[in-house]
Amino acid sequence: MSNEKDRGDTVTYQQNEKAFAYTKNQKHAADDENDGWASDSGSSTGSYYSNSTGSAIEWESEISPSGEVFYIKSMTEFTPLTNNKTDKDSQLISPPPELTRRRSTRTKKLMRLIKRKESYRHSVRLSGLASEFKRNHETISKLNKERENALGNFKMGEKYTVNIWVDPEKRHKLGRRATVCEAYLGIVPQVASDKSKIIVGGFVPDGEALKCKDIRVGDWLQSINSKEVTNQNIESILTAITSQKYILCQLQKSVPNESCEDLPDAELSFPNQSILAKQLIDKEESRVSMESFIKDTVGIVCVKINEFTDSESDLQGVSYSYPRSSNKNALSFLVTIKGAFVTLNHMLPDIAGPKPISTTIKTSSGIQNIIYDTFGEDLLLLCLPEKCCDKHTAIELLNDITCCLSFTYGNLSKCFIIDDNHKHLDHFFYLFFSQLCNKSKTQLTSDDDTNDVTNSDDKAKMFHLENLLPSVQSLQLPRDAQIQVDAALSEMEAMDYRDWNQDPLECQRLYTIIGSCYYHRRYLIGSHLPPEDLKQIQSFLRRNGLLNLIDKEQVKSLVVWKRVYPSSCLNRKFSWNEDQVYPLVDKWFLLIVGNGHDLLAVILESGGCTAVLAENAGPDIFYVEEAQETLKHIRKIGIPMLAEKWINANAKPEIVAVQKGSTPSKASPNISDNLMDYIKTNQLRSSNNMISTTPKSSFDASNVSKNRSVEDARFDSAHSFEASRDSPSQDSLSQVSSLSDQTAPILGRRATRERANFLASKPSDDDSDSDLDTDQSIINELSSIRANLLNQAEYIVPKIITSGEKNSLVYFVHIHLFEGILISSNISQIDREFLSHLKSSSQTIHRLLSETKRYKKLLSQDVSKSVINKSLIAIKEYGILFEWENNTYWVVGRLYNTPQPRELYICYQDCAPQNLIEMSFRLQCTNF
Amino acid sequence: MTAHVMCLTSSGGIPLFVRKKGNGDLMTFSKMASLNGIHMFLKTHNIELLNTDMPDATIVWKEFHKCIILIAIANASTKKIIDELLEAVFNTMILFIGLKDIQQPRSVERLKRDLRSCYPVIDKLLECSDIGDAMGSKSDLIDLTNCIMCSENHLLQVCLEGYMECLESLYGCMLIHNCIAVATNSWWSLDLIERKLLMLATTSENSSTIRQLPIFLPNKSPNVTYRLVNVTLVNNIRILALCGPNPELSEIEKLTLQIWKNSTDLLQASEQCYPRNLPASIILDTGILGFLLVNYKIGKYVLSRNTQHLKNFISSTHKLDTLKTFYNHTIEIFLVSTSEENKNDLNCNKASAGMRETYWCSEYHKCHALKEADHIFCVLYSSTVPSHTMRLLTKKTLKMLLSDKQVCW
Repeated sequence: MSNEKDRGDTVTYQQNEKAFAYTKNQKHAADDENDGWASDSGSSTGSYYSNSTGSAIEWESEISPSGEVFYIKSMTEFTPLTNNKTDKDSQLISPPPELTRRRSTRTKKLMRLIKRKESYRHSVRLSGLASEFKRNHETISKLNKERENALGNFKMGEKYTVNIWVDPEKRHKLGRRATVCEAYLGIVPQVASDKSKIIVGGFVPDGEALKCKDIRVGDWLQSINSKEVTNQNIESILTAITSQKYILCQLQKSVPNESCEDLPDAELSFPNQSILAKQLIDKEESRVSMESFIKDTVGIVCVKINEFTDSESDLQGVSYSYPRSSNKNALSFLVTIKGAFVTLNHMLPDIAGPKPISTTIKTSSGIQNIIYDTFGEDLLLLCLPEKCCDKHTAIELLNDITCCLSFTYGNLSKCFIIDDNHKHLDHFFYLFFSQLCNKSKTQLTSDDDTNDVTNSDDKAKMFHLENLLPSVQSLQLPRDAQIQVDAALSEMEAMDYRDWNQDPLECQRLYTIIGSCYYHRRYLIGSHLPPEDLKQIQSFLRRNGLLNLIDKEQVKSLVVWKRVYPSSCLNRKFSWNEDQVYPLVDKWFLLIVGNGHDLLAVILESGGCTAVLAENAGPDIFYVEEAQETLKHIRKIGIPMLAEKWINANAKPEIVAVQKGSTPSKASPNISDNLMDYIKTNQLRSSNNMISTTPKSSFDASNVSKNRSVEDARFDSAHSFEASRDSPSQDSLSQVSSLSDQTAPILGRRATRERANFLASKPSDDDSDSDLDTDQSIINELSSIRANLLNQAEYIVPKIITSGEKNSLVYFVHIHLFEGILISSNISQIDREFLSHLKSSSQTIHRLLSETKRYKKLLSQDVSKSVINKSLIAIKEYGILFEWENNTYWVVGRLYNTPQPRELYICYQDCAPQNLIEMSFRLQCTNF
Repeated sequence: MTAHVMCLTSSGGIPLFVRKKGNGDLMTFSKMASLNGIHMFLKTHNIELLNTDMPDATIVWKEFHKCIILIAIANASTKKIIDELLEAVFNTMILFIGLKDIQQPRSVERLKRDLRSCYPVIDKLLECSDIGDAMGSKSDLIDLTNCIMCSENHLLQVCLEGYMECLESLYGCMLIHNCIAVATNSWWSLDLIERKLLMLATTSENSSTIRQLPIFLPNKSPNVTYRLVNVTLVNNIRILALCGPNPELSEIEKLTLQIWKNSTDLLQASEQCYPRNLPASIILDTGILGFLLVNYKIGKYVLSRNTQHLKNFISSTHKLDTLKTFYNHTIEIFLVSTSEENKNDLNCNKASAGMRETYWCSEYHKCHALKEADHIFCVLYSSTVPSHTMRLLTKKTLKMLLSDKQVCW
């Protein structure tokens, strides 16, 4: 019982995620994933249960006049006990009154769905205690919120004093682990970045501090009874109090965020955002740094061909150019010489048939490539230096740009002509060029070497085949997990809100959902979108830097709402318009929500049966929250953790590591060792399932405390997995020994370890408390699904797809061109030099194979046979052998035309001859 | 499949000549002027226009010695070939009229007229460009010297060296069907393009048994003429020699008779190697349809087709064209390091240095290339040969060819 209580308190504390360090040991499994939405966690108890308290929607301030949202809040990467005040304050924007919201009770619905599928266990343990906690918690959160909202009224850094009643007898009321500060004052302390200041991090329910209306999260506790308080002396000061009495605490207000927002300094206006996220949001910086590009030989120009005459001013006919300067005379490189390319573009079709693709020029700063793209009456020119990226890469990049722009603006001419778009375009191209040229403010100022290395490393990866093609890197999880993801997405897409809403009759739906897709890091896990739309979303995410962001770091919250023009819908619209079925007034919106490393993208349609939208209507909170809930649900059932394991597992199929100076064909991890492990896990699984029906048993406190040491040793989940693979002796030995004495505790220990790993990988998890308020049964269901899924990942059998005695596979990319999906191995562990070999080879192969494809197409169209090099027509496989560190490696590319066009690129050690068809087949099999 | 080469003066943009290969219209002056105008426009901005790619064709601009602009448009498979083509075309101009006359022509009209003598060679160069369409009867590569492997080569070498001594020349070679069978060491020391152009310059006329031609050597002596003597020994076998003013042509004729009179049998025997370009003693595996052996250090190659397959293969020229296209792609991988563009990229250099083998599988045939020491060996196989067998066969065949001492490779 005391455990239970303890836990309840814990959860309540977690309304501030910085209390994390304190509570982390006591969290139970279902909580792990509850690093909920910033909007919900701090101020309200979230929409996981239906409550009417209006919480501040943090992204509301980001809604632009046109109703679009681009909101990112990065997970603050501080050590758990740090000052969080600015972060908290940024949530204090009070909602405009006109936004109405419909709270969903979506979990119940989802759970019904789950129950339908897995009817094998059901337990209700909603105790009276829990409901009491719930009540308690609600009042606290309400209080918190009110205070936070009121904070804006205070002046900056105002000092105030409060009297707090202290009762030393309550010392142990909160359990042994509670700090004195929590027990006496009812304040969850945090240590500021200077390691001594005590900051109010949260409140203890029924605590004394809550009764004082003035104290707010983020305030600085300066003195108690006029004794200065630091992190070091607070214990002693408080324990010195032996009798019940009032103490005088002096506190200082934190600086409200609103006052900073007007300041031009980017550092202040985006508090605690990571560099990456800041770059994505900060439109100011892009304007400033545009000037710095003007002397470089980079740029993009959109020219109207018809209006172009050579005699007039240099800006004649230019509908858009980046970079440009406020100074009219300072023209960018490309604008000055664009005439040459416009002429070429105009003239070449007369001379040699089709339009030009690229032109190479040589300037004082080196070789530059200019890439052409014509659409209608406009010509888009992109200039990139050869040292940034080669010609073919540049062509792919321009394709990606046009794909993204036509997705966001409908068509390219429209996108460049409308002046209002220019600000967005500036930012868009700023991101593009600064990424390419490693030239952003932040990177320029920090000229340390490591940064440079990682940058060029990133760049090398960025230009790797899988990151250039118009395909999405996907990850195939085990079928059960995939079903869960699909079910969650379908549920959201159905938008069957009748069940969730008490009075559905009055509301006509605002949007129909066309499809959605779910990403973990840069991997696509589930998609319900037509391939063409998926490709567009991918290039949107890629070009706006979101994919990179979500891959690199955790975001606390991400909301994007944007009007888009998905090609599948446009095509449908055009064909319907042609058939004159009926005139369609359709609008489509892209909604992206993100949390942690996960991201959910949804395309919504307004038109047909939906209610008519107001012009420039902002996002509907209901839909945003639905998406957030769906993502939360996916996170809750442990999909991200599973995906993480899968990504790091190196098992589907198994990849051999290439190392410098390795002996030829380094042995792959010994399978027989692992096999034993596998058998054991299988044996365990039966008992495991049994246990999981009583969810908390495996995570009970005794078990947890027993394994504290394990948790303290912060394993990275990936790392630990690999360690267990590479040194099977360690892991399987411990398995054997523990198996001999008892079965169940192993599970507990293992599970705890896994959990610890997971926690460690997310040091600043924001833990929402919603589970407390949700039906206990739901927690049970969710955690059992989760346990089930994760059990499957407990041991992943490595698949080997190469033939021969030893595994020799180093790298693979398998591209489904039709579906726009590719699967590939992780390249992060591959040596840089090796990678560059790999890159150049695979690109050469890819180029030739695409030529072949093009010829084939030309032949079928029978346009002009004469221009085809007959020798290139029917090539289906292309291999290159290269030598590296005394080993030889094959890079082989293969083209399949039936049933759907696919390309396979494989790199393997040159030991046994391989058959690409066989490998492709095995590769397909690994995913099912 | 078309290839155009245009030549204009740098200063005035006056067209000097246009040559065209393949179907398609001849380039009009207005189009030429526009192409040149773009180059000039960018030049005023201190920018050098290099090339423009289209889906199937490439345009390359190149200015030589600040006096001549050459523009080429071709459906070649790689840009490298067009670059080489332009280089070769300009060298052809030097070969015939000398650098001085090109740089400071007495009159443009006269230069135009003089340049007409280059046309046959330029046309042949255009044929060499890999446009994947067997226009000419022979497949040739621009930057490499075509060779033939005869079992009698070691004997021919002795004869040739004796003959050259009589002619008081260091530079001489023997051509069998326009392929070098043997040559003096000094001949191999000539620049690649010089060797190529000298061979091309003389193949055009084979009516007379002995001819001489004043030529400039583009690299060695762009301003002083040499005498290129072309002696036809028997049908399809010629000797090329670079001589000074002596001996007289009639004297050479006498010397030729004296020296080669006794070797007619030898010459006729070695002529039998054509068109296989291999001694009959070397037997290729039945899976091999043809091969291309390149020594890229010296810059020579042997292109051979396995005559056993003549009947059941599409066409023998197509076969050789495939090999040629394959080779052109292969050197892109194998020898990227030599091209200047990638020099700044260290990684790229290393990568290309590491490439050792490559292969293509297509519906109809397979190609495999192997780089070993100075050699690149490209082999064309029938599609029935398994990929891993291909590797073994290539290695075995290369070893066999290189170990044969008689062919003097």
